[in-house]
Amino acid sequence: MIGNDIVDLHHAVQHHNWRRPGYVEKVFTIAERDQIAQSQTPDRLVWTLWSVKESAYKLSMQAGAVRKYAPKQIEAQLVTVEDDGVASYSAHYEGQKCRVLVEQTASYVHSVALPWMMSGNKIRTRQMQLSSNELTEQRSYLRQALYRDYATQSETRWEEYSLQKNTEGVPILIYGGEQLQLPLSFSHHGRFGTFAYLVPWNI
Amino acid sequence: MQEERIATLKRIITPYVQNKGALEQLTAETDFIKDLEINSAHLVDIILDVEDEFDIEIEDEAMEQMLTVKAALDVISAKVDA
Repeated sequence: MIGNDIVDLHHAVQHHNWRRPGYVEKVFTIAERDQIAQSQTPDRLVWTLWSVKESAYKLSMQAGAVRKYAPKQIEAQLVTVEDDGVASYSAHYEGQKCRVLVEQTASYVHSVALPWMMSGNKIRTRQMQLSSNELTEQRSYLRQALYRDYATQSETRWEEYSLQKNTEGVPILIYGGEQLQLPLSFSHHGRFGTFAYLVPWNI
Repeated sequence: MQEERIATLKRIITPYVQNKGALEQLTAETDFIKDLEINSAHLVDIILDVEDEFDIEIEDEAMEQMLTVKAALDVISAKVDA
């Protein structure tokens, strides 16, 4: 199980007005709103917290949770910030605790969520700048990037890979017609896209 | 009444829809995220716009369900027609 979410900060500032009346009250818990109110960089914090929640939600969907729109039911809490700048958050949702690793640059915030007990597992992830604004093209570019990456890692042929989604929208990787049990998550927003998967082999 | 509300809802959601093609075939079963590819951070905007348009307040429990046109219409009707 894995969840992954990227926010293009420039796109977010242009297209999402979190300052409109009522917005933060519908999305963020009281503790989160306090942090936003006190932050020197509220835009960055809003989209960081959002991305943590979204990745935790996507993780929960892979764990069999029912689809719903309840962003306040996931509370994001900062645990540590490592020397390399990667922040570690905890999030609770539907009775499960998860760890969310957050990488930030000037341009984006990227979160990857894993169940708390699996947070030592190895993840493979890549962030990419997308040249197309068209959703279908973005999706196909991201899929192909994943096929090539996974094929290189597993020494298989990338042309043999394809992708399906289950009814909850969870992606399933197919190799030569057979479903692989690979925990995998995609995300795209604005100019950026990512994939993340749990590395199934020992390196 | 229902037709009118679907038309109003369609006007509200249009600016947030990424899959404009699916908007042409909008039905009660249409899913905001799966079919229209609305970004989940924009669902809040739709909920706030619906509140303003119909002069209602949508509580968190009702908001949880608002993933489809039908669910949104049910929430509106529960508030407005009550």
